[in-house]
Amino acid sequence: MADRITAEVLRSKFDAVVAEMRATLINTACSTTVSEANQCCNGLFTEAGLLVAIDNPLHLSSIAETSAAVLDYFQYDLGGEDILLTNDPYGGGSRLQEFTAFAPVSFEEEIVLYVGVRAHTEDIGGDLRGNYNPRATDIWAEGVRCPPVKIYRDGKLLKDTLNTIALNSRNPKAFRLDLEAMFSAVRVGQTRMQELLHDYGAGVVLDALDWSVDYAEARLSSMLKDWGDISAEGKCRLMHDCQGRDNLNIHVKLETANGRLRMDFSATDAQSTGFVNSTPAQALSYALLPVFATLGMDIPKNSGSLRCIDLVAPEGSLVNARMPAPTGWSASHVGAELALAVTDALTGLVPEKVANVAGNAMLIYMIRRGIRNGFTVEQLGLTNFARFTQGGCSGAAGRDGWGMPGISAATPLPSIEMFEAEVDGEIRKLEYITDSAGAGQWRGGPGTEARIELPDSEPDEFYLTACVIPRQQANGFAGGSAGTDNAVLVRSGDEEINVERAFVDGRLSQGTELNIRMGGGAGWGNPLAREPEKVLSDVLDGYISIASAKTLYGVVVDPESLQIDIARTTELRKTLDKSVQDLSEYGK
Amino acid sequence: MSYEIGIDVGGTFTDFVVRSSDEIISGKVLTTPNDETVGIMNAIRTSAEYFSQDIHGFLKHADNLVLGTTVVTNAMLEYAGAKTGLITTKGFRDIIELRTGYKEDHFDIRLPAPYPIVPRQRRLGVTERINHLGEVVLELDEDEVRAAVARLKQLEVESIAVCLLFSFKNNKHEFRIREIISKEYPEAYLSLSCEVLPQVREFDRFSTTILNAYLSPKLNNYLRQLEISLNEAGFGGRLFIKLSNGGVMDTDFCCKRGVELIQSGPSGGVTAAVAVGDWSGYKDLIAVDMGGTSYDVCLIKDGRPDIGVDSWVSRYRVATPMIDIHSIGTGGGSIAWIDEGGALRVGPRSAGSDPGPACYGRGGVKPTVTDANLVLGYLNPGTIGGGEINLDVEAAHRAIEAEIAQPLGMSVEEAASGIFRISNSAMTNAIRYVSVSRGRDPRDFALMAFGGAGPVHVGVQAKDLGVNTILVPKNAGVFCALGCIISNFKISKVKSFISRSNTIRIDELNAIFEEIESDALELLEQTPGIVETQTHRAIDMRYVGQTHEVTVPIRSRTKRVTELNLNKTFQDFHEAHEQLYSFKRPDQTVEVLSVRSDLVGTRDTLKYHSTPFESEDPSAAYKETRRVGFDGAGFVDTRIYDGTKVRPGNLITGPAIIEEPETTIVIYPQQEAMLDHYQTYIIESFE
Repeated sequence: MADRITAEVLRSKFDAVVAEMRATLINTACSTTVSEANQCCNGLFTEAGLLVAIDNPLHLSSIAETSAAVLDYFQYDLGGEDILLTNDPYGGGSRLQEFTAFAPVSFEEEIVLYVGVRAHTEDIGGDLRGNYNPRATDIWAEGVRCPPVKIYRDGKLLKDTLNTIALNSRNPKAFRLDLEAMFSAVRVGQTRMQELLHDYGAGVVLDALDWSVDYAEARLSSMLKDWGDISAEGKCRLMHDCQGRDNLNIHVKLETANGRLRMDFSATDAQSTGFVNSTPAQALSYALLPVFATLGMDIPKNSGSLRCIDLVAPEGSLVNARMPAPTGWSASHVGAELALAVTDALTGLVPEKVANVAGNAMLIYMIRRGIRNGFTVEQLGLTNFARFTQGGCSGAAGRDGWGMPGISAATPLPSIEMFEAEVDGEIRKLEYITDSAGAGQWRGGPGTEARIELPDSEPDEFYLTACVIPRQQANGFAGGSAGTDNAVLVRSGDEEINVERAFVDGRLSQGTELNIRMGGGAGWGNPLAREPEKVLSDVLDGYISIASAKTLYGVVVDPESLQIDIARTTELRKTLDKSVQDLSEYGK
Repeated sequence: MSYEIGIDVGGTFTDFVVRSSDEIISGKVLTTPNDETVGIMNAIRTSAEYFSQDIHGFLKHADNLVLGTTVVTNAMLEYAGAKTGLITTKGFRDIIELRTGYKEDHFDIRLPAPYPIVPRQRRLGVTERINHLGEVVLELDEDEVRAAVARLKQLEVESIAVCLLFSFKNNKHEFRIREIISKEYPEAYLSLSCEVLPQVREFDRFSTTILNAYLSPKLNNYLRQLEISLNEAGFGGRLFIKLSNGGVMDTDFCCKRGVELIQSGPSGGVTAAVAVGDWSGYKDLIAVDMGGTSYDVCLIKDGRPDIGVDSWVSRYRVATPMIDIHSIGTGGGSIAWIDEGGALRVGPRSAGSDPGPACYGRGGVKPTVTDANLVLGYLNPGTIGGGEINLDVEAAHRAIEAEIAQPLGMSVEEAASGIFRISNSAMTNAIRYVSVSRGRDPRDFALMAFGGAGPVHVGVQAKDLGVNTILVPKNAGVFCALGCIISNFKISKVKSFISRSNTIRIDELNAIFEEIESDALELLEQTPGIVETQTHRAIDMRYVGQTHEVTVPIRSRTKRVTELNLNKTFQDFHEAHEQLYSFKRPDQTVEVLSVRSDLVGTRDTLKYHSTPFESEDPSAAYKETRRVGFDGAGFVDTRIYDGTKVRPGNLITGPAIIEEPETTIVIYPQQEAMLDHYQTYIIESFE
């Protein structure tokens, strides 16, 4: 038996083991999706398959489901030195690009627990390199499905299985290296856990694993109890699905009772024909993010916390698509929209604790195609321009928005100098857009404009795919207003294309220029409650114009002296103030 | 008689170490928060008294004074630097604020944006562009530059940073802007990115340059004032300042390079760890420094500390080389609490030094790690810090009882033991993380503990990590000051040079090394007191397509890098890569990004005299026996030794406690301590 102090010491060690696995994976992975954008997840599971510790909350529910699915699949057929591999969204996973390696940890010749590693690979077949295919109407157009397979049996790599999967990638070399990195992380997890089992004794460690799950449940449950028995509804709209369907509604009803939270998506629209669908496991991870952010991200996240949640996600809806619907873009859309729907519901309950946790991501990438062996057109490489964007972070009580919101903040902006040295195009501008931020007592973070001149493609050809969801929110939070829209303009030859929805795999002329505008974040609270000095400072900094200071914030700035006209401001604010609720006490 | 003085200004205490021709003394005075000069002069006065001199007589015979300063660190912590403006390439004035999208905590809804040390209204773009080959794509619009300078002058900025894209490739436009500023606004301090850090990646270069502009004016004023105060007090020697890279340089050099002094103080501790470890025969060390609010870990391999070039300081990027110190927020002041799930937690909140732990009796009521240490008997009730603070065991008892023991239904001793174990676990995890993320196994290292609280806990960390040897220097309490007088002169240079292993040209490479080294070498040659000058060269490289570089030293004794040296360096890269990241790809092309050169001027620095061993019997130092709680053994009678009376060769078997004036060393059961020839306790574990 583990006493409670030992259990707590071990719990911190479980987190440390997962952090070590993560460091190993990120350091050794080949694809920049992992090494740079850190799109990966590592977890530790009990012998019964319950998730104990995880390094990335975006995968909380989906990796727990993957664990359940693979253990079920190999129930009577798992050896202590086997490693399993899968990428199947319909086997608990999220989307095809993300492979999960899952392996037992043995102690004294018995399987006592499991480790799991998930990483976003560069490509796994399908119609378009990178597996983001706005045209896909089924999962096979997105990529290759890999149900749970043994990739190691009794400690031996199964080369034929590996080849079967790797040769379905357009970059098998990178794919193998990424898998190697995942196996390294698995081994680090196994070794560290075996050391703990040896040092503390199996009984104590296994006890502590169970205790960690119960503890997470107790902690979340206790925080939910503080909310009392409440009920709130929230909604968000996905403007389009890149395949011609507009205004897809996501609706959630939150209800708490006795420390449990019910998240009911029954009134959410039917699934899309396209790649914006989500699996229920991924939907739950995204739906929970705003809840965790509101309660403080410090709370432990594992199967124990999931026990406090009842998810209602009707089959055939956007949050629980039926096989074989595509799901490739779900981590951005509908993921962000369903997180926003939950945030919308929370705004009614705890307005001083909300902000958006997911940004309005765009899909902008270019595939280089070249003729090989005289006839075959091969997709040679991919450049992702969506990374040259920043914005969409809402204000929150007590602070203005800045940078990217939660989920999107994981991916760094590339260095302009490194980009030009490597890709040879030219970045002509990367700067904030004036008046892009949503107004509020705490305004949103400004959006950015990037102007990029593409390099010459000769003798190969460039094909661009861009998907733009102009906006997610009609309003800001707690009386603030929404930020500006996203937009992508392509000037290619004599043509100028304003990508209002989806531009899929279109060939570009030489000398193409992209203009990418990411909208600003929503504001929080009544803009008329914003301190006039802050408004003036925003004007001087060029975040907002003198005109917006007046119309949105009721602050009159003299264009000559650049000072506040106090008399006119007082008068203007008085006339504007009547209809709006004063929330100025929040955030103090 | 001549003296060498090392002074390290810390948050609470200003430590000093003085070497005379036949002895070494050390001590502490209180730091004076608003003007650290007062504390420094107090330290000098206290030293003078020890040698029975007045301050004038003492300083007259001081050859060198080496200072670790917090002026720059504090200016950064409090955002109290100079009013700074930025002139940059048009279209890119937000690079410093976009900060490559980095957010310290992605989901912390309350986390505000970093304090804008150069707000947007003082960031002005001018038309110009240089491409990655160093070619001018757009000529510099000089009228726009003049307008920008006029605007910054109107806004009364004191200091201007000039940061243009690709200036590391072609400095023409930055130099021209300097000419214009020196004509239009000669009073302004200036920092050019091509001089501060001529290295690719605009955010790293811009941020470092902006910090330099922000910090240097304040440092300059302070050092000039200090020089005057010292001279007035009779100082006739030379003043040197500790740099973040572990070396020292004179005031003229430092005044213009504020950003290179951000870790002036802490780097001294690591320098001392390297030297003291070496004297005792240990070159692979993990140095841990536990203070009131933090726990700092630094890896030393083969006598060299890890150097980092990607630090964040007060939320700004610093890409100049700094001794790589990993810090977590667990210290003596970390508060123990019970969370909503009923688990006992320690930190991250800290009682700091004011009010401090409950046992300080300064109004703190929350139980802390120090309170637990006191209840467990590790610390001696009574005064610490030269009589400044009185440790009240009853107060510690009360705090732990009310906040932890009662709610959890356990005894106060059990609760104290719980706090102790949980805080240890956090520290052990930090050490493991630092080693593993750098591709090292902690079991290959010895642990060296310093700082007031480090030696209480280090014995447990060693056990948890499987480390067999622990070193605790006798003067662990004034380690950073000791590091000051041990340091050599050191100038770190870097320049980006993007090339590939299959196309790199050896003459171009040598030309770059010569370019970055010549001024620095000349400077060192003019500096008196240098015994020998060494050049340590290195190349930052990676496999094509990767995003992070590995700095690989060039193993060469020749003045020029030869083809052979270079090929060997590429081979070393593959090995280093495997060490760090567990794989290598010797058949793949390697990309070179930057070259580095550290120019070291060695001084005739301090070394302790070897003291011969006396008998193994420590009983002359025996003080008393106290009940002390050890994990797994409960409270047992434990022998307490007076550290000032322990002699080299004495063998002390655990459980035991050695009380040094500035620190307490706990020897756990199954451990054995011996004071070695060089005043360092070597603690070995046995099963």
